[in-house]
Amino acid sequence: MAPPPPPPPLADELVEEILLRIPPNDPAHLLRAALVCKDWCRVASGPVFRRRLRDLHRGAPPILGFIQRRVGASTCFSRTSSSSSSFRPRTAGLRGWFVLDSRHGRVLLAASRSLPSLAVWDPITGGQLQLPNPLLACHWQHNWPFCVSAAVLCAASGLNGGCDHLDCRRGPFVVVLLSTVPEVTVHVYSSEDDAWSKPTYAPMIPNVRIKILEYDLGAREINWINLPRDYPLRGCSLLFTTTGYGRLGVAIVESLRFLLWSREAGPDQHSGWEQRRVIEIGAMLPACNARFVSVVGSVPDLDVFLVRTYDEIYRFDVKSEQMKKVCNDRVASKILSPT
Amino acid sequence: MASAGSGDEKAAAAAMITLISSDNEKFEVTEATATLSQTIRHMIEDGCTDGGVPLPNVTSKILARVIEYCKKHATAAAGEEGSSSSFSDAAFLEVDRAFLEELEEFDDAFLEVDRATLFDLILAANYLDIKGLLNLTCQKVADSVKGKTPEQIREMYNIVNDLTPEEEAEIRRETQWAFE
Repeated sequence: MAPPPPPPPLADELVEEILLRIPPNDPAHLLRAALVCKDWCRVASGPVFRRRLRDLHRGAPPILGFIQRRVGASTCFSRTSSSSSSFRPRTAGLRGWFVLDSRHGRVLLAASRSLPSLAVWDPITGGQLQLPNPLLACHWQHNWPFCVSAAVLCAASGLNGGCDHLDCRRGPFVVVLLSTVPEVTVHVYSSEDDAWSKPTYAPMIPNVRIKILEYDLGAREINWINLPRDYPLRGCSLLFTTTGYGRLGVAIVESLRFLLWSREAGPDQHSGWEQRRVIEIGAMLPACNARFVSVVGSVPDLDVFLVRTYDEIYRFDVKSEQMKKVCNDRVASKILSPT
Repeated sequence: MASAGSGDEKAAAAAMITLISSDNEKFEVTEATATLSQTIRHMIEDGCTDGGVPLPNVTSKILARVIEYCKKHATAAAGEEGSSSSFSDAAFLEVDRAFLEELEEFDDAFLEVDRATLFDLILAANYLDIKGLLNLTCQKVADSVKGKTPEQIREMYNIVNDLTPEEEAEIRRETQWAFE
């Protein structure tokens, strides 16, 4: 019998329709398909395709795993038990590094060495870029890197419509580093200049129990803002995130109750907190000690959170109020970056 | 159950359209079947279907399959409209479910074609703008690609690899985990 005739060539728009429908549970499927030929590769890496793919899975993007900073062990990537993905970033180069933050496809690492060392890691390619040492007064005696908090973000963040962050991980980025030793300062690193800015000093710390420090990247200013209300430090867990439209949000778990606040601009341009959701989560979790239930991770802008009990981690979708177990875990001290 | 439709539907169902394939074969179909294609629907609305609708991009072999799909799904659409008025009627819901299952079985059997035909069906569904058929056929290809290596996908669909060895090596190096 004669071999079947070759299939007719497909226009880019039809290749796009096919690639969009590849099951999203494992990004390797799409990557392998992109390597079939030039046409397929071009379609899969185009901005239109990326945007459509994101919009298609916007409601429920699969969580493939998370990067964990473990107590007494090195940073690692943990797959969720429900994930059939083959995504396993090479974490061998992370020995001795702690994860400080992750956003827009980049992970910010800090090494506990005599001088404060920082690097940015791309989990997709495994590439690692060492940053120049920030001129910080703090060092290992001050418990570096735990005396700082930091954020890595695409350099076009905050510019209106500047970037949709779908494919900017190779582009310019900034790192904002907040140090509290010996006084509250913010340093900003720009990858375009490959240099740290001069420090910005915070105004006097107000006399309250907890305040949020807000750094305005455009104006290079520090402001203190209040929590939605005075939450106790003990017995409740807090996680900052962004809610829809990039607004600052805070998720709070207190006595098996999940609260989501977002910061909205008022009529007189003054921002205020608005309580968006209050959900009783006790019944959604197995019987457990409320003391151990905390919010440990979030998918920015999608209102999807990671909630942990004593030894399990759950994915909590606020919109649908669905709680789904993703893995068993007892050792993680901090979870960043649902990937 | 399709007979539960209104008088208008019966009138529409009675109107016949002639479709002409690229190899000049003529197919008589009801308007209800033909208008699953947005392309043909627009032609009917513009009143340019007298003397038949020539479809120079679709062969008779593929057109026959497309019509088979449209006939089945046009009946389904009519059935849905007919039963929607008695939504609370459990018997109707039961019938609906049985019909949907039958439709799924039909779709599965419909997709049992060789790969060249599958691509031809995608092209025809796109040209004729039949959303359901385009979704069905593209999903079939997407599912078949899942879990395959680039080499296997190329072999399945007879696609020539025109990436240079350097381009291919670079992508593989950047995302090594996807190819292990």
